Amino acid sequence: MGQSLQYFFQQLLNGLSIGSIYAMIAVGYSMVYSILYMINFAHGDIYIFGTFIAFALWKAGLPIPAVVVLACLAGALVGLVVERTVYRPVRFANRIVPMITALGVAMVLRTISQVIWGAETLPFLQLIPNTTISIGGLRIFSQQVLVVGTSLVCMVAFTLIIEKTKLGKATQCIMQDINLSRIMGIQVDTIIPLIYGLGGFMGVVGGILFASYYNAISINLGLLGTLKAWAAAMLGGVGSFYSPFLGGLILGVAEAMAGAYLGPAYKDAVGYLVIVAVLLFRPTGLFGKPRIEKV
Amino acid sequence: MATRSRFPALPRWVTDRRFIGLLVLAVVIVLPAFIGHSGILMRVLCLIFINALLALGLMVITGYTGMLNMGHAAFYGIGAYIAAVLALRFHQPFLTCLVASGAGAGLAGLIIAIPCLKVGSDFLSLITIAFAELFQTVVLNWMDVTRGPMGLPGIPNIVIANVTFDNYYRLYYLFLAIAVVIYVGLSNIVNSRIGRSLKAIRDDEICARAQGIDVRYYKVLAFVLGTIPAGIAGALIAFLVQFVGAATFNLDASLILMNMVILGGLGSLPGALIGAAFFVGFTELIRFLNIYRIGVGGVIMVLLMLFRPQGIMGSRAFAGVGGFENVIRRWWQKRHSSPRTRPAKTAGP
Amino acid sequence: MTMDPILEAKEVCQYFGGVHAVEGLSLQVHSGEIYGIIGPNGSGKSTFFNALTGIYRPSSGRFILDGKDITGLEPHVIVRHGITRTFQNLRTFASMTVLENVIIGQHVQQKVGLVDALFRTPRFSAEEKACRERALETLNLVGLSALVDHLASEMSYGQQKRLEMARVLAGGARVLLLDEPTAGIPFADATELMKLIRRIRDERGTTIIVIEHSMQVMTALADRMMAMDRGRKIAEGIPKDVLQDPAVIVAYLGEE
Repeated sequence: MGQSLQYFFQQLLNGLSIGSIYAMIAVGYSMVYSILYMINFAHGDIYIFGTFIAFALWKAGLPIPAVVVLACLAGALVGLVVERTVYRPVRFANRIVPMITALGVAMVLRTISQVIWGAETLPFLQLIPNTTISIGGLRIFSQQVLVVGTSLVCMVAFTLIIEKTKLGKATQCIMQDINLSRIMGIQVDTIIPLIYGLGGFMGVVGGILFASYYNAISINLGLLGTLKAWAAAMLGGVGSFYSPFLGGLILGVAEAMAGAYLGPAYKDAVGYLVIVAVLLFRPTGLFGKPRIEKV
Repeated sequence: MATRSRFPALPRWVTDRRFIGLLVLAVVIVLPAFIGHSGILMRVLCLIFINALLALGLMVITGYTGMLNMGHAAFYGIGAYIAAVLALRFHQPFLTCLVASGAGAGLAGLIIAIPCLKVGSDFLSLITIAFAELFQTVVLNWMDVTRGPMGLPGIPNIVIANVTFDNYYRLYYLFLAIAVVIYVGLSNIVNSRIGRSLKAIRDDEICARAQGIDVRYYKVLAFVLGTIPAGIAGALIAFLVQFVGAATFNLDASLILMNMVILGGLGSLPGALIGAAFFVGFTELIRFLNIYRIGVGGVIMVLLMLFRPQGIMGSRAFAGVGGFENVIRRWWQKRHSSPRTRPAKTAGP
Repeated sequence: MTMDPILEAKEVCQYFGGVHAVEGLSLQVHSGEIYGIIGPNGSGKSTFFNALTGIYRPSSGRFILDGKDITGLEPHVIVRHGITRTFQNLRTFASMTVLENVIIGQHVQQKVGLVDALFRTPRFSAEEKACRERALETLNLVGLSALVDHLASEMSYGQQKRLEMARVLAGGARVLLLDEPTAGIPFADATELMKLIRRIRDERGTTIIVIEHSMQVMTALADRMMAMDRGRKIAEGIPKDVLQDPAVIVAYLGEE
């Protein structure tokens, strides 16, 4: 394999790895968005809070599997609580109101994390030991295998939940028509917090993977996470569960390519430019279905 | 436009908005006589004037037109950097910098409005954030012009017509004058067909089009009207602090600006002033809690949305049928009325 | 009332993917007439209005207004050509007062721009005053004078329907499209409304196209009407004839 081709594939691999993390947090985020058409600005801060809890549990000496499970549950719980207490009362106000509430929640969560853990970047645990596998000149890190593997497993589990369980089918109904679902007897007000919870759960998985991959955690990751989830979901488009997933992968690859060929400073900026460019030509995202408003 | 008086006991003219406005203006004009000795207080007030410009602009974009601009600080930064570079590199006088900053930010607003036209309101906020991030990246990396993270120090004093503005009294009145001019200008514009069109777009875009409103034109107009004051504010801060650095114009700054607009009340220019004054004053008061100001801002936002989404001066209609205030009011009404006099249901969401 | 068609639809089709919401619809409305459209739910009546007013771009066919082809133009441009409408699911500007809502209805009649507003020229003040007065007159016409300063969102359903009517009347367009104006309001109010609609036509010569569900209302109101079913026109003529047309009866009541 030629040198530059090898470099390209290396970057592609890096991109897919980080992209699959984006994919997971994007799916969690877009579930909420597809149902309520509300931008959950607090998504990132919620799961980073969960990731911080993982950090605290790890520091306390718990074994890694316990750390992961408990932190994910914590993330789910926070998502659920936030929905029930703060989002629900404003669900029917003017569109802008729940979005601003979410913004406020994000800011509050960030500050709580800041109070507890400080504003510095802290080293995070390594989920598995760092080894490298070499295949045909490509270096594959064990972390990358973990990340891609985990997100695929999560997506499969998630798909099974959505398509096979009662909760999942109810969620699909709610996504199509919330009022009709309510009339048909679906417990909308119970399910929606659960969906937020599920989003939080998957988000924390993504957050832990992210922090482990980069071996760092800080409160700034919250806003960053929300932006990435949002960006990936917008890029992929709304309307199915796969579009945000693909959006995340594409975003990851775009960033990796930009970082490699233009310089690390341009990584984020190029990511955004790609999204803006896509939205200009396909306003509903790459794979999205347009939302028909009845007139 | 005549409205019902909320305080029927007082004579009409006392609660008339214009009277209150003139009263506030009068107070602000004579204020330096009482606090002029305190450099700190004077500086804070100058900051309030600058942030008032920012809040007014953001109010037009977000409050009146309903476009969630989460990157307003970037336009502030564009204005500041234009002023700094013109002053330091090209030795331009203050007034030239002022005009250039306003124009530059306005042009940026025009450019950013164009992609925003094609997409729904949700994507729009993403685009504004993307723009803000882009601004940060450019500023931090364009070493030749902006000196990256080191910023641009040493901006000279304002000089207009051979008068050097080197003390707080002069700066105070200059900034006040600029703020008043811009306020009056924006107020005249929004209290007209233009303002009505913007509000119509915010409330119901489809219905707005059905009234013959060219939504695209007005959205672009709103952006330009909102970013020009931001650019001017940038020039003012550059000359006040005599230094510009990228950190002043980051996402956190945009969030605080959003806080101001929401507290003041969406769709109200006086609200923007109140929001600006509150947050600047508040930030100064709790200096020791400064690193937590984001959290405090967040708490305020959440409480506001729960209890009074329309902020201080905004329209009641924002609360919809949710919000604790309405829930409590309805519960109160139910408890204190007999079945016969129970109020009829109001229109739904 | 003259015999020139002020509005023509020529073989208009509106497809959404596989759904043929409107299929080959042609009609002619004469200046100053009240033309009714009736049909069961989902027959494409509102879709037809949406296609006419530019919310959708027709899949095929043409709309001609007063000799000008307005097919597929932007909604706000079509308003400028002289057509305004009300909405089936009631659209008002919630955060603004009743008065402001009706003033906005006059948007295309206002000429002053940014500069006039900025400097508060006499032209500007005169125009604002005129708009305000016209709005107050129109609100008087529909009986909402007492609620002029109330927020649109705080009014009852019936009041909001009257507000929409006032908004559309203040605009002074030559062609009004009314989408189920009497839906959901009590019979007495509906009668008032019908009287008002006839009065507007008689005094101003406005052409009015009304979508209605109620056959009673249609008979009392329309000069001519058409019945739709599943996107097609199935009958057209004077109300008495259309409502006795067997195809119409089948569409509404089903096969015997």
